[in-house]
Parts: sequence; C-alpha cells; structure tokens
Amino acid sequence: MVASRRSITEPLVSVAMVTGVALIAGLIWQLAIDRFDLPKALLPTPRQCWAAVMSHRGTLLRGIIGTGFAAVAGLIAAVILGSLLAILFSQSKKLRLALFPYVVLLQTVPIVAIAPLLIIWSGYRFRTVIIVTVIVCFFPIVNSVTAGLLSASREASDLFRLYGANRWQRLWRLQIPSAIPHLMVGVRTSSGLAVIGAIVAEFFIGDATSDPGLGTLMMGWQALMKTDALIAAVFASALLGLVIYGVIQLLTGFLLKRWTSA
Amino acid sequence: MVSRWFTRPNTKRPRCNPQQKTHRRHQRPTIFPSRLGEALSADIEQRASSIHCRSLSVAFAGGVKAVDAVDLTVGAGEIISLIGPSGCGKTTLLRCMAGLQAASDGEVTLDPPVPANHGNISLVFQQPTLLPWRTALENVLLPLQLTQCPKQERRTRAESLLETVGLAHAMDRFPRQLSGGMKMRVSIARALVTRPQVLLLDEPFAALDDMLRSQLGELLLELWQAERFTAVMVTHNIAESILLTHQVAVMQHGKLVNVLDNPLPWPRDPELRTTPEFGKFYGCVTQRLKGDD
Repeated sequence: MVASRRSITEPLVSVAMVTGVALIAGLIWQLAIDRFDLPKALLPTPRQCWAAVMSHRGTLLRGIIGTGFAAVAGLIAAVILGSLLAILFSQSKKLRLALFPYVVLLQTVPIVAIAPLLIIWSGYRFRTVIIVTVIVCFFPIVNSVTAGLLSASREASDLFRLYGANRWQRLWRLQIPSAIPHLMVGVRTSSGLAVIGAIVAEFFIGDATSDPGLGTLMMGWQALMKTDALIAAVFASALLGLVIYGVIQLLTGFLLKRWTSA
Repeated sequence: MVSRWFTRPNTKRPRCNPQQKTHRRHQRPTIFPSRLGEALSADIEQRASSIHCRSLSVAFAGGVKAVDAVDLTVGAGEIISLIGPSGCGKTTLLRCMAGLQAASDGEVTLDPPVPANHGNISLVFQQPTLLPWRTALENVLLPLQLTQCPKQERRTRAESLLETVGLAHAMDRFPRQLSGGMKMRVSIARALVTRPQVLLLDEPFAALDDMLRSQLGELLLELWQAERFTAVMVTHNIAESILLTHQVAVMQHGKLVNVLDNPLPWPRDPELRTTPEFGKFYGCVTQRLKGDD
C-alpha cells in the first residue's frame, strides 16, 4: 500500500537528514577546538565526549530510565487529570469561567519557583519529581482537550439535539471523538515539557534517590567540572526526549487512524 | 441513475394567481386519495403529519424579527419549498419546525402530533455534517443509536437505506473518502433512517453542481414516493423549488408573502423545464420574489 510505504520511508529520510546535520555540527565543533586550542575542561572534543558516553553508559542508561519513567508517569497522570478537568469544563461554562484562569496561572508561574515549595511539602523523593512533571504538563493538556471538546460545529450539535441526545450521548459520541486529535496535539507539546520538568525537579532533589536521574547526574558532574560527562548527559536527555516524542508520534498515528487514514 | 417518475393523485392544477392570499389555501380535503391505491400502504398513509405554523414569530436579541407572524400549513405527505432572499428568515422558520429554535410567539404543531426528538422530524443540513471519525454506515446509524432503536434493527435499516441512495459499495468509507454528492447522499440517508414523518431540508444541494443537484432532486422524489413524508425545503434555486414541490412559499423580511400552488403536472420530469407552464410559473415565482422591493 502506497500510504503505509510513505509513512515508513518519510521518517527514514528525515532521520538521514538529521544525522547529516549532526555530523556537520560535530566537524565544526572539532575544527573550533583545533583552531582555538580550547582546554578540555571548557570544551572537550566530540571524541572525548563519546568516550565519556561509553565509560558512563550504565549510569547514563539508568539515568535515562529513571528520568524517563518520571516524565512518562507525570505525562500520563497529566493526561488523565487534565482530560477529566477538561470534561468538567466542557460541561459547565460557569466552572470553566471560574477555574480556567487558575489553570493558566499554573502555567505562568515558573516551575523553578514552585519546585522548592513542592520539596518542602512532598519531600526529597521520587514522588516529587512526578508531581513537578504533572504540573508542567497539565496546562497544554487541559487547554487543548477543552478546546477539542468544544470544537463541534453548530450543525453537529443541532444534529444531536434533533435526536434528543442527552448530555452523556453528546459527550461520548460527539465531544470526546472531536477532542481526540486535539488531545494528541496537547500530548505532543507536553512530552517535551515532561522531560524538562523531570530534570528540573531532579536538580532540586539532588542525590536523594538511590538511582540518580539525568538531572542529578548533571548536578554532580557540574560540581566536579567533568565537562565531557556533562555533555554526554545533555545528549542522553535529548535522546530521552526524542524517544518519548517518537513513541507519541507512533501512538498518535495508531489512535487517529479513524480521523486521518486515507 | 434510473429515475422512476411519480404520479400525484391530485390532478387539479391551481393557477398562479397574483391575488392569491397566504391563508386562503388548504381546504385540500384528502391527503392521499384512494386512487393512489397500491402505491401506498395504509401504514404509510397514516405516518405523515401535516405541519401547522400559527402566527409564528422569532425575535432575536436586539429586537430583529427573523420570522414575523407566519401562518403556514403544509399538508401531510406534501413537499413545499421556502424560497426568498438571504436573511429573509427561511432557515429560522425551518429550525423552528425542527424544534431547534424556540418561537417567541405563536406555535408549530404537527397533526397528528408526534413526540419531538425521536427521529420523527429529520433535518438535512446545507453541509453534509457527517462525523469524520465514522464511516458512511456508522454515520447513518447515529440517529438510531441516539433514539434507542432496537439494536438488531439498526444495521439492516441503515444498510438498506444506503443501498437505496446508491451507496452500497461505499458503506465502509470515511467521509473524507467520499465525493460531495456522495456525502450528501449519506446525509439524506441519515435523515431518513429513522423513517421520519417530516423531512426538513436546509438548502441541501446548494453546494453541489447542477448535474448533481438535479440527480439528488430526483433521488429525493424517489424517496418521497416510497416514504411519503411531509417535506419542507429551503432553497435559493427557483427551478428546484418548482420542480420538486407541490407548493412554493415565498418569504420576504421574515414574512410569508405568498404560498403558490404548483401547477406543474405529476409525474415530474426534467423535461418539464422546457414547457411553457414551467416558464410561466417560474416567472410568477420570480415576480413574487421581487415583490415589495
């Protein structure tokens, strides 16, 4: 089938192009060090960074898994809680008017300002990392799902009224299906934020957990001026973000078959 | 598409009379004279309801009267078109009949009365208004799901209706995989799947090209022949309003200006467009439309 072949080759082409850009960037990096004779503590060479990746690979992998678990758990919790709140918002305009500004407020307050408070309330624990992630992911989910639930056209609403549909039938057969593409947009936006939220929370929590996440590792290596390991951790967190994003893309394609398949 | 042409029992041809008054009509004695015989089962004969609007008004915020004291009766099993310039209130009047718009004064009643919101009154929108995540078949099933139709009946009814509108091969396609005309066919099938007594159409073919428009017009008459629902069709198209109807109701500024009995003989044939009668009635409707400008 043409459609499925295209959906497989297209990512491959884009992966090839992205890899090409990375190789060029690495070359420029190496040339800059050679030209300006930069010390290793300031900017290690790509080769040294790669060596750091290999020597810390176990630690980094456990960091990716730990941070990734927090990010995904937070994202899933945000999807559940955010969608439930959005459903309430879609059913009552009063509730929406009363509470939506607070959801926006949650978004406008920087997470680094809330994180210390959350540590006081929730403690130096893994749980706190998840809570921070939920807060970071919450707004895009609530916002997009609410918009999606309210996106049905006047004609479609009239159609449901014409057949005497009750609130639940309307919600289940019209509003929720209308909202699913919007939900996936919100999830995609939140997926990047989830990794940021988890790493920021780990900065604050430090070495409290037995298996350090990427944020904790970064703090430790920064204190030791291990620049090569720090850069390795940056790439590890980028990889984590990409993996989560990719899984969400796959999931979106699968879930939205009814909405988009040719 | 093979068209069957339809006989209308009442062969009396009212002339187009410029003096004709709105409320004068409708002492029409029988709905379906027995002469029609085998074409109609008694069951169908009793199903259609006549529609009565009595001094119906709809005022919107700001005091604009979209519909102003309209008295209109649509005989059971008849097709009437509402025609008039944009913004003259025809769609609002239609929405009142559908129960989607509350009247600020007056009332709409059906005789015999039918419970509202159970699929007894159906509406075909200007846009097909299909749910994009549902296949053609699932879209046609929707009214049956919403009105709690017995589960085992749903599928056969929806499938047979899609066959009737010529979409047996496209039941499992999604709306985005259908052409504009096919979508409108699905939309009509969805409107008829509950076997409504009253079918309301809001400029149903306005977005389609001329060929499709006349094809779907024929389809509508075919379906009417089978089901004998009462139909009200809002339209901008004078030819369509003449070719498909028993009566043409002309609206201006929220008021019903005239209800003209359609003199054209049944069965209706596209050839009728070339007859002098058609031309004469066309001129008559056009004149009414210009009316009090």
